[in-house]
Amino acid sequence: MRFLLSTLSLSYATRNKAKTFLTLLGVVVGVATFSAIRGAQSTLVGGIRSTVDRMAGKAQLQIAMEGGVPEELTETIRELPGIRSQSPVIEQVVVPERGELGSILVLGVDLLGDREMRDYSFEGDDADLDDPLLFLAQPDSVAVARPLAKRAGLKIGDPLVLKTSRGLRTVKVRGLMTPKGFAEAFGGNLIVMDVFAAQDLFARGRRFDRVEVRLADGTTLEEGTRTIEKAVGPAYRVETPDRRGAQLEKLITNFVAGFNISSGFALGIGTFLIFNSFAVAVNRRRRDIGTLRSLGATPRQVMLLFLVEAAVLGLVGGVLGLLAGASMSQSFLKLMEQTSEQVFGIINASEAHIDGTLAVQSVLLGLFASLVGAWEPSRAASRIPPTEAFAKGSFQAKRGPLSKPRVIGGLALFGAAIAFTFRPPFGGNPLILMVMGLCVASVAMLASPASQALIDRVAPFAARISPVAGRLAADSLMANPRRTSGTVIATTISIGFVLGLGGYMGSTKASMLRWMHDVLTSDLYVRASANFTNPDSRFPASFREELAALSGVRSVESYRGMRITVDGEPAMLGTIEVPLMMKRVKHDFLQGNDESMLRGLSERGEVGVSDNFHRLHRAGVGDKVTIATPSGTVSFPIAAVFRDYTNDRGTIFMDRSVFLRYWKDDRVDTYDVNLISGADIGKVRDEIRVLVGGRMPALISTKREFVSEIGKAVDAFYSLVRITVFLALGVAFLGIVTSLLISVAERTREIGILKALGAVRAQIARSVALEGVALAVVGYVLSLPIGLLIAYFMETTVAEVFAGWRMPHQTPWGLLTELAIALPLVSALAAFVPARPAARTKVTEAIEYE
Amino acid sequence: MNRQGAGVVVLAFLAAVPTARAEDARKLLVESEARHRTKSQQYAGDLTVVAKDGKVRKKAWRSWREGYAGDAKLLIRFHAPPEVKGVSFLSLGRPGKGPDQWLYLPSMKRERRIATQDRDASFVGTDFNYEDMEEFDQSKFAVSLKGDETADGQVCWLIEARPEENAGKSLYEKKLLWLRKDILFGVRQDVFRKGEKEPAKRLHLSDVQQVEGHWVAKALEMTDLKKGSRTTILLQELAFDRPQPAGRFTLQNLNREGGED
Repeated sequence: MRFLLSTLSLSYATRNKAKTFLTLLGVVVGVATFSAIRGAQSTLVGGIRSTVDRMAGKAQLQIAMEGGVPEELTETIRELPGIRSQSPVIEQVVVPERGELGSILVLGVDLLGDREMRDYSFEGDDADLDDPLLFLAQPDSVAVARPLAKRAGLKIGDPLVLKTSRGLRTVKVRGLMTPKGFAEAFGGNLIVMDVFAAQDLFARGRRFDRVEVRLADGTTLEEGTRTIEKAVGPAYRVETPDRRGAQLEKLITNFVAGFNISSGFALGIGTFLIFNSFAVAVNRRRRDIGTLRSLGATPRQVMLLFLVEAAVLGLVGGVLGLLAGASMSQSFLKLMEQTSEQVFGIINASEAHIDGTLAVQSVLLGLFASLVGAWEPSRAASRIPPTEAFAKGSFQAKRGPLSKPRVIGGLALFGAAIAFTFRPPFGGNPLILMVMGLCVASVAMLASPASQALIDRVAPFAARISPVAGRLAADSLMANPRRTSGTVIATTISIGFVLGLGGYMGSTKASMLRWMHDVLTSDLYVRASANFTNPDSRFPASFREELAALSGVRSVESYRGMRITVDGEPAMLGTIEVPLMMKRVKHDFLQGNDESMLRGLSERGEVGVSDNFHRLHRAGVGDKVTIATPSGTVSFPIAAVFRDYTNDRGTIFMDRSVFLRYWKDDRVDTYDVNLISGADIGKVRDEIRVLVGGRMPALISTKREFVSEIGKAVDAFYSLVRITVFLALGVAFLGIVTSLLISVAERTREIGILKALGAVRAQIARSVALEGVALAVVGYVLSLPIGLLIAYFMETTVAEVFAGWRMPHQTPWGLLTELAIALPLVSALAAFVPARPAARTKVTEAIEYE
Repeated sequence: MNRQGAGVVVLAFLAAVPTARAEDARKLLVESEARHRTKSQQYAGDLTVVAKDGKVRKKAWRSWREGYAGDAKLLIRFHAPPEVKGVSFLSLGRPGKGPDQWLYLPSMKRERRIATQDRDASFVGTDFNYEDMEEFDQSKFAVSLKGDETADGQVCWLIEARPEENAGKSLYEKKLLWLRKDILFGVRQDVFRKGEKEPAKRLHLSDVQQVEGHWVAKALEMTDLKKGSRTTILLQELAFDRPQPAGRFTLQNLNREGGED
């Protein structure tokens, strides 16, 4: 075997460096994408937990409430039995004016007593922090973690400018912390300041983000939780840091699920690339195989030879892919972190790393993908009879197995994929893998006969386009079905994935844009915070009257959103003056109607729920939603179900009056300002700016700007999927290019014969390019049903399983057009480039090729 | 603790009782308290903190106290350096419990409560902590006489005081008190943290004088024996038994800006 490897395999690899490199590249891209996404994903999830744990320090319980914990709560729990200590906390991620320093986590703590919760390590020149009086007396005092101070070149007494919701604010470094324990959280990009100064800096009013509790010796977590819950009421969450970390993880479940799908896609395409490369390699080396068989090699030995080659390629590709993935994962992680912060308000900053398990998994996946890809070609190679192997050109002309069982089997698999799409027997990742696997298998079985049938019909057209080059291309396509089908399959599967993912994203965005067009109909939106889901500041309720008093303003609505838990699952609560909102909003109702919504919410204290809440919680009109409020646990009847894309975990809407009655918190996230007809929007906006100037942070957007900003948040959510689509597209093109390069190389002998018969170089190059275009068109046409099925599967089944949404299908015309233009161009180029040197080869050399 | 010295740790002890009565530490302390009790005390304090590395920080405050031991009320207002001007501290004794304490920060225009858990925190960057700022109340300690010893050239009673479990949490396992036998006035105190055999900190009271008929130590020095730092307080403009305005020892007054009372 060693002899065979060194003489046959190594010699082939040396003679065909470009092809070997491209095959290797397939493994590398697949493994790199997989390991980068998985590495970033696990770091993100682990980082969230780690940040929560490290920040919590010795705290055993955390008390939190949406909208913040009022200061008075600390008095309520101060004297409770079993409480050893308590400490209020404010947590805020800020961007410094010097953007190159990255996001910084500012932790506001009560420096007088926080050492009970966290270990501080102040050493060296930071003795000033040993004077807490000076630190406390100056509200701009901060202690900076040393790694950050080092990168920023900060020392005691230096100013640091931070971008806050109130504009640029300067803080002064009055202490340095050695990274240890909690100071390592957020990747060491951490600043500590006094919690009361943080309240002012970040416009928290008289509230904290949470209160941390350490229990007295002998008090169990259950006892402590029970005691606190009894004292503070059901509106507060009393949970361990670990549970809080788990809850945060839950919030990003759907976001993370997208990565699994993306990495699966990347690996799937990579595997097929290998399959294709090996299939062509086997075809090219059939004379070698024939020689081996004549010299006594058994079919088993031949198969083993190719599998060992694949294993070597897989291992090398796996290791290289792992290295490439490790370097890519930090960029992916940054993207994920930005999204998790922007969309979910979850903070994290970690250095991406690929742990040992993932490294082994990645290399093994490269190996496995290579073996899977090479299995069938290896089997085919082992079965080539020596006589056939030595007959030049006979194999290429041989038609692939067009057996009925193969076609029926392929159709059955595709039918099963459709059936699972419309009636999924189970959910989650297994369902996705099942449907994708069925799609790939069906394409593998059907693409060859389908492409042959298509080529038989397309080829004559090529002959009509160009009398010489076109006829040559048509003859070649029809005469070499086995070779061409490989390229077609590569194109079909790759473009199918791209169309599926891209189509899904297109439908999702189009649905959301349409929904925003129906719902966001106010003229101006005045927001207190740039963060949509977890605002870091809010307006006082009284501000509504001031806005309403401005000339040109017809009405003002007060929107307040809040993250809540229903049946242990996270959900969103949206509150607004429903009668006012109903006058301008057009809802798409699944259950109920405008009348039941208006009367139910504004007169009977009921709630409306989003379509995804309805599906995720199996609750509709006639059911009740139970919510823990500061006034106790309340069951709200559902008055209507309507399409809504506010939150991927479901949204409950109630009238503001009901919210105020139960929550007794009148602060507002966003004022929706409606103007009288003909009012000058710019002028009213300027007046609002004057009104808020210096008093409170405010972002004032027109309808168009607001929709655009939300659109950006949606884009952020799908940013990584979008990258994966591009990667898949890249891999798809790589597959096509590989196939065509190998295909052209295979035709060297044929090209020599053509030259001998009088064909000129340009004609040969054009014919090869034309052939490439024809192959791309066939692959493109065949990819349409598979791509649209995948898109539909994602829009309905997958979206519903994860988020409860069913996205109305939108045919991705834009993407289809782009691919229709790009694909033939890339294919023509991929065929033309190697065809030119092939056409220059001497006739005698070319005829002897193989 | 020490009502004489700066509202910071101070002990009031009895006059020397050289005979068999001296064995009764409780009686000694009760007698000391009765002898040195004053209705009020006020002074101007200069505070110097010397860190282990020799770095020196200075602050100045004015202090007012009303009541004594368990029912003492204390107000301190800083007036120098300028960065801390207006920062104030209020401590209201609660018989049988630890006192309620607040710190007022003028930059934020609000007071903040010092939680029980925070009593170990350094008081304004000195070697005193918030528990050290409480008036010494002998009724909250189990006391025993350990003999006599010389301190600063004076013959003293050595009394061990261990916090009673039902008298509120204490950071300390025990305190050793040195009382001058001649005037029953405390001149030294060693405090031991829980589980430790060596004292964590040592308080020296010196420059003991009579002012307006009351014995008082005009210099206090707390040494952190582990960190190697020390804090000295010099008392000036001492006055006793002056009537205190109504409302001086209240949160409303604490929140009043300006630093003058």
